[in-house]
Formats: sequence, C-alpha cells, structure tokens
Amino acid sequence: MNTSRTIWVLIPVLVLVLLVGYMGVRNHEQATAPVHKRIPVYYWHMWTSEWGLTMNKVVDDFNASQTKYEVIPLQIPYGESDTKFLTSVAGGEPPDVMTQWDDAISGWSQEGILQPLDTRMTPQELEFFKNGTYSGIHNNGWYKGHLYGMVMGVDVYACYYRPDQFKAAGLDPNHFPTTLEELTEDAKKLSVKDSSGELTRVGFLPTGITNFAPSFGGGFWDPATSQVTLNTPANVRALSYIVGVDNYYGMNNVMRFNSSLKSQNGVSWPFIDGSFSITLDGEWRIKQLEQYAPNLKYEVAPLPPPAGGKAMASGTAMNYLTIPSGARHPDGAWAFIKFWSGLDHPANSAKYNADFYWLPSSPAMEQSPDYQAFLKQHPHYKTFVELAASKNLGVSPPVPYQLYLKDRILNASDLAERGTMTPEQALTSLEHEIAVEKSRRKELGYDQ
Amino acid sequence: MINNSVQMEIGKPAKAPSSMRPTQKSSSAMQKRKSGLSFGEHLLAHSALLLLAIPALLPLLWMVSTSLKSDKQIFATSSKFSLGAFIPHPAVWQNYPVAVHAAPFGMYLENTIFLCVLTVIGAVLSSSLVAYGFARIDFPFKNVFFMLMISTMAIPPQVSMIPVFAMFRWLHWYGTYLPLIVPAFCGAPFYIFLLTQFYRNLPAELSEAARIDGAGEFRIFWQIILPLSKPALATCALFQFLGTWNDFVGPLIYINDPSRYTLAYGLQQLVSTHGGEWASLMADTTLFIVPIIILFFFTQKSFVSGIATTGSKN
Repeated sequence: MNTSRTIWVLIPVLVLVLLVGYMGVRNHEQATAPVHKRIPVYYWHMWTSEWGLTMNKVVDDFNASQTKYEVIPLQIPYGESDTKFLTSVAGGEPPDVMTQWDDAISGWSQEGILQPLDTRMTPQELEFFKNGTYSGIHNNGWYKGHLYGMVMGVDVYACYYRPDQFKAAGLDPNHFPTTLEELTEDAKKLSVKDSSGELTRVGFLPTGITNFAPSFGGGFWDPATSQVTLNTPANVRALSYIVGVDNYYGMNNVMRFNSSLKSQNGVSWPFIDGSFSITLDGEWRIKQLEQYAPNLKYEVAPLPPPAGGKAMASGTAMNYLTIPSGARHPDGAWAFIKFWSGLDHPANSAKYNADFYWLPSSPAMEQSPDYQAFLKQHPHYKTFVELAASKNLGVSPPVPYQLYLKDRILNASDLAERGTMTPEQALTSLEHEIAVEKSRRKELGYDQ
Repeated sequence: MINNSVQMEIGKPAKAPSSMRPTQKSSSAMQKRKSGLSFGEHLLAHSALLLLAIPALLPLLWMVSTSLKSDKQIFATSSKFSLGAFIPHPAVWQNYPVAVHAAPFGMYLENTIFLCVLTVIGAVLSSSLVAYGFARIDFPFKNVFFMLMISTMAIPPQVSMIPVFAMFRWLHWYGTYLPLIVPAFCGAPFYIFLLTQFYRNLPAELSEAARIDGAGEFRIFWQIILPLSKPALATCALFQFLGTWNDFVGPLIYINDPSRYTLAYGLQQLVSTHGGEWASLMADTTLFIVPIIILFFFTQKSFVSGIATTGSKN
C-alpha cells in the first residue's frame, strides 16, 4: 500500500520535473550561448518588417568585422518594450545596447537607467561628434552635460505637394510658394467643396504646433538658458496661424473633413488619395509613396517661412542607441554604436542610413558614394537632407518629464485647434500645467 | 459513522452520491419547465438572445470578414456600415497562406501547446492538492492560511514582477521556460479557492467510509475526491489553458530566443510587422482564436457545470 502510494506520487512528479528541467536547460543554452564563442553583446530593438531586415544587415556586417564581440539582436514589440526593458534593468539582466526614442532619454538618464556615452569617446571622436555632425545629431541625447543617447535617425518635415492639382487650380505647378502667407492663399485656391458645401479637398491644413513653431522662431526649448519655453510670442503666433486657417475653412467643416479621412497609413494616406494638395510630413513618406503610389507625380519643398520667421526650419523626432546601466558588455555595445553611427568612419556607415531611408548624420556621410547613389535614386530626399543640415531644427526638451510635456503640448494645440480655447489661453494653461508638474516632481524629491 | 448507502470499493473511482445527482422527479420537472415554453416564447427568447449576442459577435465577424478581403476592399468599405460590407467580394483565401508563412506559426503553436499542457497539469494537480488540505483536513491556523492565500489574489502582478524576475534570474532561469512553468506547480489562489468550495460540498461520509476501509489521506484525495471533482477540475484546466494560451507578458519578459516564442507573443510581433496589412493581421488573429473557440465548444458543459457547482465565476 505504501509502495503503491509512493509510486503514484513520484511517477508524475518525476516525469514532469525531468521534462521541465530538460526543456528549461535546453532553452537556456540556446538563449545564452554565443555562436562563435566571442563576447556576446545583446542588442534589443523594435525594428520590424523591412527595417528589421536592414538592421540585421548592420549586425551581420558588424559581426563580420569583429573577432572580439558578437552582437545578438532581439526584436521586441514596440508597445511593450518599456515593460521588458525596465524589468530587465531592475532585475539586473539588461541588454548591452538598446534602441530608444526621444521621450526615454532624459527621464531614464535622471533615474540612472542609462550610461553616459560621451565619456567613452576619444578626444578626436568627441571633436568630430560636436563639430562634424549635423546639429540635429549633436544637439540631442544630452542630459545634464552628458550624452546618454547617440542619435541614429532624425526625422524632419517638409511639404509634399501635387503639381497636377496646382495646374488644375490655375497655379504654376513649377512654382512652390516662398512664404507661408503665399502658401496659405494658394491653398485656398486648391481647396474644393461639393454642392452641399462640404470640403472634399483642402489645399493645406496645418495642424500640431510642434512642427510649425520652429518656422515662427519658436519652439519648446531654449538651449541658451536651458529652459523649457511654452507661452512665448513666437509659439502664440504659430498656434494662431494654425487656428486662423481652421477658422477660414470653419472649425466644423474642418472637423467633418478630418473625420472623413480614412487613414494616415498606406494607400489611404490623404495625400495619396488626393484629399490634400499640400501636406507637411516626414521623409519616411517617400518610401511609402514608392510602395503604394509609384505613379503619383509629386514634389517636395521645405515649409516656407512666415513673415519675420525662419527658413529651413522643422520639428524633429529621433531614435537613439543607448547603453543601459548594468550592461555586462558596455565596451562591446560602444563598439557597435560607433560602427553603426559612423563616428569613426562616417562614409562606411552611410550605406546603412541609405538602406534605412534615413537622413545622413554628417556632411561626410552625405558626401559618401553610397549616400550620393541613394540620393540619385531618390531625388525627393534632397530637400530633407538640406533640412537635416539646417540649424533651425526644433530640439526635444531634454527634461525628465518630456513625455508629459509633449502630451500636454499636443493637448494645448488640440484645444486651440478645436476652438475650445484661444491660442493664448491654451498656452497659458499649458504653462500652468507644466508648473504644477514641476512642483509635484520637486515635492517627490526630483531636481527637475 | 458508516454510511451504508455509500457502497464503494477502494481502488475504483467513486460515483457521486445520490444527493448530488438530479432525481427522476426533479429531472422530469425540468423537462416540464422546458416543454412549458410555447413556440412563441421560444422564438421571443431566442430572438432576444441573438440580438444581445450581436454586439459580441460583430468584432469577430469583422475579423473573419477582413481576413478574407484585399487591403483595397477593407478601406473601400470601411466608411459604410452595411451587412453587404461584411461579405468579401471576391474572398481572398490567399491571405491565410500568406499570413501563415509570415511567421513560424507551427513553431509558435508547438511552444504554446507545450506550455499549456505543462501549466494545466501543474496548476490542476497542485491547486487540487492544496485545496484538499484546506477543505478536508484540520490543522492549526487553517483559516488564517486560507485568508492569506486568498489575499494574494488582490496583489497586482506588476507589484511582484521585479522581485520575481530577480529571483528567477538568481536561479539562472532567465531565458528559459522555467519561470513560465514552475509557478503553475505551486498552486494558483483562484483555483485553490474554487476547488476548496467544491470539496467542502462533498459529503464527509465519503472520506469517513474510506478511512474505515484503511485509505490514507492521499488515497482518499486521489481515488475518491478527484474523480468526483471533474467539473471543477475541468473549469480550472480551461482557465489555466486560456491563461497560458493568451499569456503575453510572461514570454515577453523571460523569453529571449525567437524560436521559443509563443503564439500570443508571436502574434504581437506580427502586429508590428504587418501594422498596415490588416488582411494578414486578421487572418493571423483568426487562426489564433480558432483553437480556443473549438476548445470552448467541447468543454462548455463541464465548464458551466464547474462554475455552477462551485458557485464561482471568474
């Protein structure tokens, strides 16, 4: 009886323990063993689809160039990357290098989650980084005097326009407006209403203060004083311009028109289906246009400045490479960052920017044969390349509450664009919200 | 006290006592109640139920319909709401092979089933054993321990995520399936609670009779209590299966090898990869939920019975 009972208990438990143990150990070996017995450098990223394939090429090239390190990439879902990353950092098992976006850099630097990168640069590398790269590259990724994120890709915004619709509206298709005022007037001629008075096409519909503030000489960060700038005359002018255009067409008409738009992606992008004659968007749309509307004739030009504003200005968005605190092989991670960013050999890594459809990070990269070949193949990129080299680009405020700040800026812009508040009221309210948040953070013991 | 009405032979599964089975009388009463509904009442009841089911079924219908359309069809019909818009014309069956080839579905399925089988076995075995202790054995501070166990259900998983991660890392289990499997063998509070309620309703005479015949606690548990608890065990098994099948956070945090990904995690990768390709995405999603729907069809009687007899609902 006792023997029988013991067998009943032991057999299933033993079988399961053996099975679980075998699978666990087998998986652990698979997950952690470097392929060529080199030092493994674990790289987590969120690149998928064709970007994922391009990223794999960068990794393969790096691994082929190395005898010491081996980068092992792992793609993690974009929406859940923070959960995995922060758990791994807190649990003491972070990756060695990771892709991040703007919002993360300052906040995570303040929390000590990221390692400074500038301290790893040689004097020559630091000199090239500060003086040899475009301002969008060397002005971002800093927090309290240290660089925590190496900018890899910069997004800038320019006007896409359709010459066929210019011609149909009686405008010169070979002449793009040179001032924002002229553009706004042309856009009125390009707009079309149906018999019931509903807008079916809008010439140009500005939205979102972030992309327009730099052209008005505004923005949300003043590098000279290291202060967040919100309710400034330039920002008020930028928001007033957007609201003014909405008022011209009628707030309700604009809302109805916007709600009739299908999607911002793929073939349904309103510029492709003809809902907009001119639209302000990023350089990545060129690839989408090649993919979804290869026969569409279009042109690209920088957003013309308003009277007294700045030419060649644009909002920006960046992705970065970072090294988390607690990374086991930060030297290998830094070797990979240098290789990919082209810090030591910009011309060598130009092909990766071209493969990614990214803008060059320095004049040296732009002039490289690989990038010139890319520009020849995709001539519309030239406008964006010129913008990337401009000194009038917006800077992401390097404050630890950047995520909150961006959300509230978006909200203020939205309130004004919907007519709920005047631009002045919206920006005053924004200023108050940020002051409250700063005060709250101060009470929690943060210095910013 | 020996209950002579319960005649059982040690070594064979017991049958439920007569008090647990519907009597002929109550059964015929039920039949009468059922047949008491007129055709009109049946029609009315079913129409109301069908109407209420529509909001739940519409997203599923849209998913299946979208999985059989081309991207152009999807967006061409997106602004019109009509029954005709749900019918793909023509049906693009090719979306399914394309979706299957977009990801190693077979591998994800194999990994998911492996985890489901082990966690179901682990959770049901361990929870039923612990529940038996709480329900049928007296020991000091039993109620305190039971309350303590129940209270762990109120702890959000995010609170324990980092300490548990650190513990598994310390055990060198990071990057393996062990953090996803072993906890299931340590009992799950909800299943323990559910089974405890069920065991408490089983007549004590069953255990007493077995004890008199010389059975120990484990044998009573294994050969008398467990066979009588099939509906409750099936409910726990189904909950656990669904939990593991849909688990996204566990594999996200602990698995770093793409060849070990599960379906739920793999599907999330597809969302990123096919962000703009709705047809492929919906074909993948349909394939993901079909096994769950089939499983529920086969187990719904046991499931409902288990829920009803324990007086619990999730």
